[in-house]
Amino acid sequence: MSSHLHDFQLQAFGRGELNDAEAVSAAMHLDECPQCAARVATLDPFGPVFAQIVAPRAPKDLVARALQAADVPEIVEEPVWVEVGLGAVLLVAAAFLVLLGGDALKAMVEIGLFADVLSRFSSPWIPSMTPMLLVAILAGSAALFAIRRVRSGQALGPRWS
Amino acid sequence: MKYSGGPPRTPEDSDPEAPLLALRVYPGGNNESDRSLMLRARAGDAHARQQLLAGISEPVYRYTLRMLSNAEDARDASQDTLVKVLRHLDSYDLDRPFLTWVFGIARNTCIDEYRRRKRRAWDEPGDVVDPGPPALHLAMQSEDAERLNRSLAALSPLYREVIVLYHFEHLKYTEIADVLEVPLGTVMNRIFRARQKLKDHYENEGGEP
Repeated sequence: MSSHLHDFQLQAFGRGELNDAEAVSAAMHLDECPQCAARVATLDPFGPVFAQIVAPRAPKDLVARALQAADVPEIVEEPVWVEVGLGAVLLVAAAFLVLLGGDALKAMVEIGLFADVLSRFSSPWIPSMTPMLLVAILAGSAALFAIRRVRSGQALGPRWS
Repeated sequence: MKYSGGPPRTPEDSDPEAPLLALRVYPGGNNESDRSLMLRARAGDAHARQQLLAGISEPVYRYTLRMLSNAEDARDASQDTLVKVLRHLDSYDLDRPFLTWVFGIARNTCIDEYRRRKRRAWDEPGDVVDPGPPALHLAMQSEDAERLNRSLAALSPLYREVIVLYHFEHLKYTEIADVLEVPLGTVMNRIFRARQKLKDHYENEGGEP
């Protein structure tokens, strides 16, 4: 370990007057040097006030409740990217249908894709655009939901803001 | 337990009433008995799981209470944190200081709660966003201590957390960097700014550090 820091260095450190490199170097020294850490604490004007604060105690049943809760099977939420991915796929599908219109529907029927679903809309009283509209509404809802989740910050990692 | 101005560097400096468990009283690397305890807890040993949680419940509760300023929310967030610790124990790297890993989980849990509050305030106009610090002041404390608590509660969470981790939980600077997942220089900047803001607020309240 290098030699101890001088009081003027510790005071400058406490006041935030060291430059970045000096502050980091001093912090690393303080992490490893109990004498300097104790000294900087005595130079801290807030030190005596911190010493007067009584630490709160955890509720007595906290551990028991946590152990009990840990035994309940966990409900795993789907990560937000699943929703974003779903929204994107549905948007592409909707765009595909909207752009190609009737030809897309005809192609889907020919290859048997969604035959069961499409057959329900084969009635002459229901406009042929209905499946397209349903997919578009579904895709729009999924995309809006995904955007809301992303904007709420859940996909941005741990931040306070 | 009362706080000192800086981190205790030996287990003897910590709470004398606390059970002997190095991972709690001495934030740093894990000694052999801690590792053995964690391995037994991982294997599902009920006594080891209980002992492990007992060792971290106090710092976790203190941290969540200081960050959320509400006893009920702090209790829920502490419980969530402890449950997550048990559930994710398999993914914990035994070479990393246990307490910094735990504080990382507690921090994420508090951030989730903080966001929930903001959304709640958005959805329900009139709801109280920040219920303030009364939960911290159940014990009799000096006027200066009360003033410092109020000043601390007035800080933004970004600054409050570094003060809490350094001055109240006695983590080293490098450990705080580990919890926050930021470079050491960023921690230092935040601590200096936080202390300046704390001082300004404290003086505005009539105190003199």
